[in-house]
Amino acid sequence: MMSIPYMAGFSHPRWQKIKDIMLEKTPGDPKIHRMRIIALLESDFKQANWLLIARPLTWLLEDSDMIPDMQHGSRSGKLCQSTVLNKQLLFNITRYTKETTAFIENDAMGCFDHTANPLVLLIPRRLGLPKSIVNSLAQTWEKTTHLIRTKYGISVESYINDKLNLLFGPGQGAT
Amino acid sequence: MRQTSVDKSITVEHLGESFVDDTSLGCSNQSPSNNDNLEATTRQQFQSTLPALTKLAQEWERLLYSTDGGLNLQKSFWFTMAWQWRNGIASLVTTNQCPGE
Repeated sequence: MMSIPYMAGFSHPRWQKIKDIMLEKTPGDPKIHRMRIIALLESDFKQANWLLIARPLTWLLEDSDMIPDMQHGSRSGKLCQSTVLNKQLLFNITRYTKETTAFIENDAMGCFDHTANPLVLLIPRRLGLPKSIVNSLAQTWEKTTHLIRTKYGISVESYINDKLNLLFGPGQGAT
Repeated sequence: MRQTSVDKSITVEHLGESFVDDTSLGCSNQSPSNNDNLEATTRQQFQSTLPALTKLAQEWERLLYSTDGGLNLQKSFWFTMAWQWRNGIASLVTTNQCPGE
């Protein structure tokens, strides 16, 4: 049932309602610029995304060796601790061999919530995802309405994606 | 980065480590060392490594920019490990001895 919109290429209106909650980055210090916005999606939308988009594409990317070895995030058979261990071993080798080595630690800004949607949607098409699925996803992202959920309930007012105020990213918009 | 084991039998080449959006990149010195003047060699290696790191960082930033992302400069930083030799004993140079700018 949940895959029907993706198979037929339309967007379910229920999927277009997203509830945002804000978590404190520093517990007990609720500063407005130190809040992490989490978008709560409909359960069947998330499951359909996982079954029809994430899983097949992940297999394809892994089988085709398209994800660089250095990436450890969200990959089966890779541990986040491996990155720390590899780094520690690298420092140890540098100390033993006395080689001059320089490092840079990069933190990406807006990794998830500042990606250009049309560009993002081209990538799964390029990887062979059916047009109906990408169509449905594009419509959902385009017509998404965000409501704010707090302990007082769900807000009446909302914000939406429009041409003058574009929201980026898969649900977790640039708010 | 090219890392060689202490006995020079194994060499591994890699760019760094990455976990989702946090990435650690690095580059090691590729110029040969002059055993007659280790002090000068350290400075020379340091000077040749920094442009490579700058290029790497800029390439990374452009890749992020191409998908409308960017580097969070407040959370990004760089450091280097360079060595000075005194009486056959190596120690890490300080920022004052080898400033990056």
